[in-house]
Amino acid sequence: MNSVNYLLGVAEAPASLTHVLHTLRAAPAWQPFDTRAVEFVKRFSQKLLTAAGIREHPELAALGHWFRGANLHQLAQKYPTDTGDALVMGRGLAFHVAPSNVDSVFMYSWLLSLLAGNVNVVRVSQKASAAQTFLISVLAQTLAEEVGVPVQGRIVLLTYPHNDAITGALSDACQLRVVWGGDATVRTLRAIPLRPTAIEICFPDRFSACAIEAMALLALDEPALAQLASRFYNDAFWFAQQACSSPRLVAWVGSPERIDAARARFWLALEHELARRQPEDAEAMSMARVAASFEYAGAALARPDGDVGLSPSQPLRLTLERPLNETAKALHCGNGLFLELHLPELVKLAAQLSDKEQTLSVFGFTRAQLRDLALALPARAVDRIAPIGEALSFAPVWDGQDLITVFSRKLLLPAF
Amino acid sequence: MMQTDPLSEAVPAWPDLPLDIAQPYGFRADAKGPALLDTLNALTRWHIQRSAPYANMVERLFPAGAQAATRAEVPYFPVRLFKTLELRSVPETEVIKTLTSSGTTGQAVSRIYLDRETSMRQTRVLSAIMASFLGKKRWPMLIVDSADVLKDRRRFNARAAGILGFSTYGRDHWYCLNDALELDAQALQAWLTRYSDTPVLLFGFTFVVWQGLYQSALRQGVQLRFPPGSLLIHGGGWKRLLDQRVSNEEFKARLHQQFGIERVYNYYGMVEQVGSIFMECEHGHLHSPSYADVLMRDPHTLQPLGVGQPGVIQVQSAIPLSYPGHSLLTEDVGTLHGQDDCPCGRAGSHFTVSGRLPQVELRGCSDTRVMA
Repeated sequence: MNSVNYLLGVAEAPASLTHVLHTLRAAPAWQPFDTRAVEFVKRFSQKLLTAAGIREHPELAALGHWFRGANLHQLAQKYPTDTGDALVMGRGLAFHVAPSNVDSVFMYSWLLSLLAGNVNVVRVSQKASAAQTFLISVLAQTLAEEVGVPVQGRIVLLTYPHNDAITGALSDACQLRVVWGGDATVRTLRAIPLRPTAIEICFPDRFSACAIEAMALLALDEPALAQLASRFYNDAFWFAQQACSSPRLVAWVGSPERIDAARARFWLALEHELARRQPEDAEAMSMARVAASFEYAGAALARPDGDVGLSPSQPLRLTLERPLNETAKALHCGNGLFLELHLPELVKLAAQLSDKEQTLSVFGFTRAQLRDLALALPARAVDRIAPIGEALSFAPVWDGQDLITVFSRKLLLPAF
Repeated sequence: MMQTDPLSEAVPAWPDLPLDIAQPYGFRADAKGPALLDTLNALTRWHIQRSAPYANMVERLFPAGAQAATRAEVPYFPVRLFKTLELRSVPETEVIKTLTSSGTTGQAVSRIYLDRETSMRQTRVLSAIMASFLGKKRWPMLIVDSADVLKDRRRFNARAAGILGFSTYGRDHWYCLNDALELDAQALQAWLTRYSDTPVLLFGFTFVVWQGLYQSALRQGVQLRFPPGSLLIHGGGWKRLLDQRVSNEEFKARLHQQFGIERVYNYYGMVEQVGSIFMECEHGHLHSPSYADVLMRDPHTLQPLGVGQPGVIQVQSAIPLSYPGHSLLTEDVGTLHGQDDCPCGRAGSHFTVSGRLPQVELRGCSDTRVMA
């Protein structure tokens, strides 16, 4: 157990994990949006936004912006801590498992857990990244300020090599386990027993899509089209199209003629946007999307348009030859590859989706059309429908779960 | 180019190897170019008829199909597809060996299916290449590995396949490493006393030679001299040596210094194209034999590159019949240095390999490394 390396929140280095967990478990749970937690997160957000070097981490700037004071106060209004028949409280010790590469979505979840009233121990990747080091230093500075004093002892960041005994000890001590990672990580963690009274929330691999109504796109003037392309760029090219909510499939809805015209306009506008914004396109990224294209072709799942062969630059587009299935989703590696699909009406998309789907970003549909699609979906399919441009925006309801609510508990207390 | 047998319908008419097989470096571009292109086109046709996934790829991604006008137009696919697709051009019952390789992209394993004829073609081609370096006689042969690598004969990994393939060119084989890949110096000394005046052939994988022979001898304080004229052939990639900052030049110098080995030849080859290897010459360039060639492609546009421009290496070979592997895009980076003009005098293209393409970084929440 001495292979645990504490990155934040535990002062003396050779502290035994048992002792650390004992102390963390002894800390009381707070009620959601306790002033002490809110003030700390607010200050952390300010410091993050004004830290030197924040421009190199736009995703962390977005994080800081989201946790700004005004947003926290607005959010707090939605979660009363005394409902008249119950008190709401944090669950206690929360154990968070982060994915290998620091992902800002994961940061949102443990900060929300702090706001929900929990004490948090966060296992981060062994592989330090620039973003991770940056975050830890800003967190440490905030903890050292006066506003950090009440929160000391409620946040521990640590790392350790793959070790079932350590994960087991943490899982046995916590009241809430939050796992971010691939399906394999989720399966591995699930096999490690959790304290009987604890609950678990997992965020496994997901697949996300986008749907565009052809006629609505054709109705856009040039500036509006350029704006749509720019919003789509933000959804698809941040995180190299590898976030759970990055669109990997574009479903076109309308008559064949309109779809043809709309596609031509849209992809041209996106090309202009790519030329303007110059996203990262490392050799390895190019080769990864090329290899995926060969896999799609070999399995007769998808093909490029026309008969000129493969054009490897991003966006690399392939049209699905058969309904979207698990293989087609599993082969997708991100990196600027788009599967396309043509449908006469939006509701027909429902049958091709499964519990793998997370976000559907949309353009040009009425709420009634989206509602019809939602009601036709298979069980557990699609957690979120968002306008194009907001696929990566964080919401406190994530993967279908209201995080503040699941991170806290209700203690029934009727009016006497 | 098609071999036909009107007497028996059971014997398929496979595309023959081009030109005179006994002269791997004897044909200049004007003769080799058209002959190899014809064979590659015939192989494309052959595999389209026999492998559905291959036919799917060609039909969707290569408009020229089996009518390529240049070698650059011959369809190809990335080697990593052997890990995910079943790429076989013969019925399962005709498979006599399955070669496997783990490569670097995750845990999946490549599967290369060999039938009798393909296996024989590999041997014929490798023999011709070896004969041009070793002559016809068989040399006493030291294998720098442990005999344990060969244990599972049904499912060969790349190392076992390489060792067995090259073993044919030697006699009185001796495996000089124990199962922990450490040098058994005493046993080697005893074997060497039999050949004080006869040059011996050493064969091994680059990193095994470095760790198991060179570093192990250094650690044990063993002083060994190989007979004058002894020759080492090694291959399998430089990744682990580059990690230790050992260059080809240093590798050669250290082996010379420690063991007196003067002739050290690297080769570039892969389990996906056994047989038609690219041997290094005295000037440090890798050479295409007449039955194979390379092409460098730009990793972003996939357009073929000219002399002096580093790119992703595509390998083409006239050998594979039982799997559609006659034209493959590797994950290696190399530079073409010329055609028919190496100072060593061998005809054909010559090139160097500089390393591997970096793998993609996993980001966002799509991480699949288990608690790494």
